[in-house]
Amino acid sequence: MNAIFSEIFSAISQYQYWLTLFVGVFCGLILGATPGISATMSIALLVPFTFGMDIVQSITLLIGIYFATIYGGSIPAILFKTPGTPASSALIFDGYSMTQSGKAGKALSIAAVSMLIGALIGATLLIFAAPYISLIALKFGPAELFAMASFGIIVIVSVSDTSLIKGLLSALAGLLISCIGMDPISGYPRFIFGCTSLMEGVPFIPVLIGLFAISGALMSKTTATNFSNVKVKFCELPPKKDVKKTLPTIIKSGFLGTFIGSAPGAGCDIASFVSYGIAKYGASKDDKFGKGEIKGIAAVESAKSACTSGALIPLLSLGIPGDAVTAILVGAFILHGIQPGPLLFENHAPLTGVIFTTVVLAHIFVFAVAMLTVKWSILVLKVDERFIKATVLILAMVGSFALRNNMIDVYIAFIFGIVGILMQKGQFPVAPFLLALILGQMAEVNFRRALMLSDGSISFILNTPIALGILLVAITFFILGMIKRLRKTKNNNLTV
Amino acid sequence: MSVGAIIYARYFPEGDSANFPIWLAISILLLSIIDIIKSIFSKHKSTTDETEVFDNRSLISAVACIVYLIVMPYLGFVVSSGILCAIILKINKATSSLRAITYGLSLSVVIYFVFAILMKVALPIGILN
Repeated sequence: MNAIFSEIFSAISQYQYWLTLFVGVFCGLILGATPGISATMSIALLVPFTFGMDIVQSITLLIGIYFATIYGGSIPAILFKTPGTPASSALIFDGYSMTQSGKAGKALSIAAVSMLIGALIGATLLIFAAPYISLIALKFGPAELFAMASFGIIVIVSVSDTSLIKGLLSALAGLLISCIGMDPISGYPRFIFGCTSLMEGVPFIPVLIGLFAISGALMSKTTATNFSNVKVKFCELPPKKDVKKTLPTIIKSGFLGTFIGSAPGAGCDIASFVSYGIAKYGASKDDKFGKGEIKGIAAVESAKSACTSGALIPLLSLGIPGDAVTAILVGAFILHGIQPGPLLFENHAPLTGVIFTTVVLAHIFVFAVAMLTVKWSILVLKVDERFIKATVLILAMVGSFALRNNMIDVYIAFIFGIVGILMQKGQFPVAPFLLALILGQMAEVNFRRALMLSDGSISFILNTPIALGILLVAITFFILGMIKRLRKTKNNNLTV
Repeated sequence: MSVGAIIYARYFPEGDSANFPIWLAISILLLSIIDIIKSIFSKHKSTTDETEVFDNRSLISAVACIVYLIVMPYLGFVVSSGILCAIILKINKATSSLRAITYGLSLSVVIYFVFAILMKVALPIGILN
């Protein structure tokens, strides 16, 4: 134990540690806020800089980038309806609504505080419960992953504002679009129409950019929003009553995000949408989800940041990456001769202590930088909205192109921009479509794998208790959501 | 979309490659029919406060984007994005023509510097090559 504390003290007492952490967080925030640059791309872009560093500096830089990128995507999502990362897209429903009503500062500060508390919950679970959580995560096979994907989609459909049928249609359309590309089991190219760029499927970052940024930039506002009176103090924390109101949601989402992140294959985008859906499901009459509800922002931010620590649980305790980003972190570890896994705690206990300390300090750093930049972020809103729209449109185009250096992605973004406008006109909710697109392949592949393992029998659901439990919870959510909706319709009819 | 998917998926090799999209397409078709019938017979017409509309300006902006997508590989990112930005600003009556072009070209140069030089994303150079 003395060796661990002495290693931690030795690491954090060096100025290089703090400089590396600052650079990682700063770069991560900028990259995360740039549409088209995901957390995976950010880490991949900056990994080469770590080749000449020692293991502590290397891990510090990468963890700083990872956490900051995940938060950084929230800033353009809240301010410009343009999520910087897929995980931040759930913020648009309430965050952007708050910006439109002149409360952008409040939205950003609640997001930062929720991020910090959620992150600390995730970090605590990582430090004290990693071995136990990883044992549960290890039991996740194809049936469980299919159940989790279905759970996410069903929850989001059941809490959509519009009719249930439209929500289901939206989700099914997303699932159908996710079928485009090479069939992951048989390898047969489906619906690519001879376009080899679609072999990997429809990339969801251009879809995201199209649905939100391009559709928003093309539409005309009926009333101009004036942000000249919006005033935010430097480093202004949200009011205590807002933190008190959102605290139960933050804590619930923190735990949920950590558990979802610890399941291999489940990323922060699933955690953010599922947490939002559950928070919305438990909304009281006074809550205004979809129209600027701070609990909506709190749920998403807390789940996202807790998920980043959750993703480190299988990585550090089992050597299994939780998502694409942690897969790159595995590479960084191996590059420095460290094998993540069960023996990491035994053979490199001091290094593990430094990693845990860095996880906590990185989140605190992200929070500090985020609070320091809220005032300056808001200043951008005072620019003429028409200039912001034109800028967002160009950034959306280049952001889509930047993913694979392929014009097809820009065409996809534009097409989905038009789809976004049509969905808005037809009152089809976007969230189920997006989540179904993200989870579609995971759901199909694991369903077919589970069927193969059970020799084509669908009874695999009954034989896997975790999967059965998750599906039963999902069905319960759906039924309760329907009952709630029917009651609301009955009350509306009585009022009329 | 669903009908197209069912017809196209029939040519996939037999097996699970085709089953999943076909079942999805059939479900979409059935639910769409139910939704259409529901909206025809619905007494209560839902109304929403439209804060954003797709008007003539939006249509012209969309057409400008389509032209941009066609010419960008040939004119290059800087030139085509600068022109598109200027057109969008003029359509929305944001500023004078000279300022719109100046802003558009400045924006595209800055974005080119950030993406192509700093992040090493190879953006099309086009006629500036």
